[in-house]
Amino acid sequence: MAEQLRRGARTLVLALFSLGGATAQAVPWTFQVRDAAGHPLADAVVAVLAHGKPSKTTSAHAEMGQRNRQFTPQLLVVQTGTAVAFPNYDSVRHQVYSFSPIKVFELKLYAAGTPTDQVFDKPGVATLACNIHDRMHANIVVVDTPLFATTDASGTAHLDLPPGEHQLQYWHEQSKNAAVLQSQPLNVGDSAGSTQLTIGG
Amino acid sequence: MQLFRIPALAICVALGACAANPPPAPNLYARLGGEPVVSAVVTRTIARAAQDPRTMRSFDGIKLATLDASITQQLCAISGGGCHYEGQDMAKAHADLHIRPGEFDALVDMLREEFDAAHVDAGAKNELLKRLAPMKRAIVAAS
Repeated sequence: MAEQLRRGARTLVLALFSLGGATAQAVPWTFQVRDAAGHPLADAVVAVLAHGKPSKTTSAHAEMGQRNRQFTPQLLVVQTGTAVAFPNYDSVRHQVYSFSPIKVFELKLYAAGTPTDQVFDKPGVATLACNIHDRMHANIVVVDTPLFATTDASGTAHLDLPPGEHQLQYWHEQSKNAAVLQSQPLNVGDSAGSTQLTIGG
Repeated sequence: MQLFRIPALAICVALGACAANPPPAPNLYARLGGEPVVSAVVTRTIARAAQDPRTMRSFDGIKLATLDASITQQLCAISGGGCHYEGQDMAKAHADLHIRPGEFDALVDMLREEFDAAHVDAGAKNELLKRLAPMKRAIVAAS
């Protein structure tokens, strides 16, 4: 009788333990990004390469259109392997191109309705422009994780992270080397936390 | 005597001077001076238009080298130079700019002046302008 109770108790404890482990997966984390002068920095990208999370995708799709002679949006963050379409919503044609090493391509003068998907299969930063319209520019940030966010006007972004020792990657257009992602370790425990970042010279 | 006839015949054939067919008339593109002249005239015209207060707004933010190449290709096609124009039709290309008649006329004046400055034959210049005239309806916004 006592043996049965002990076994039952152990089973119950183990069950509670694994339940506890399941709910501990999502730890709220806040990222606060500032520039060198201490001002909140909007449009900063944060991404967490978490142990056990898939790095690449084969199914994700995203879109960067052209409207009123500008890219929309001008900052797009995608997981590595995402197919990005470039629909042209203008009456004029655009010639979209990138010379960035992670993705070199050119979409020669095309009008609305032309299929334009490009798969971004390497992590890093791609800078885009148009061969006709000087003012058009955009960035596509490609990360090996589905856990990413962009800071708002208050320089803040939120992610729900699994506990563990992860890698944080971050980027902003104004940083000294905006061609690459910055990286540092990120340890997530069982309770909510935050990371402060300074970007820019 | 026979020995002399053969070389004369050979020379005649080689020079093509013995046939009665006249050489083909040069096409309009050739009469304008071909690619080097037309390309230079277009480049100077567009450079002026991009700085002239009457026309500059339409060239704001435009990569002029890309535009110059496209226009030169278009003029080559229109004047029988053998080019295939790959650019956009004039209506779509100008729709969002709402071009005014005065702006169009100012650009044509600049084009005319640059052809003259390049000493292009007046007849050839006028023939080209005549072929370009119907574009006005497509380029200028319907008011």
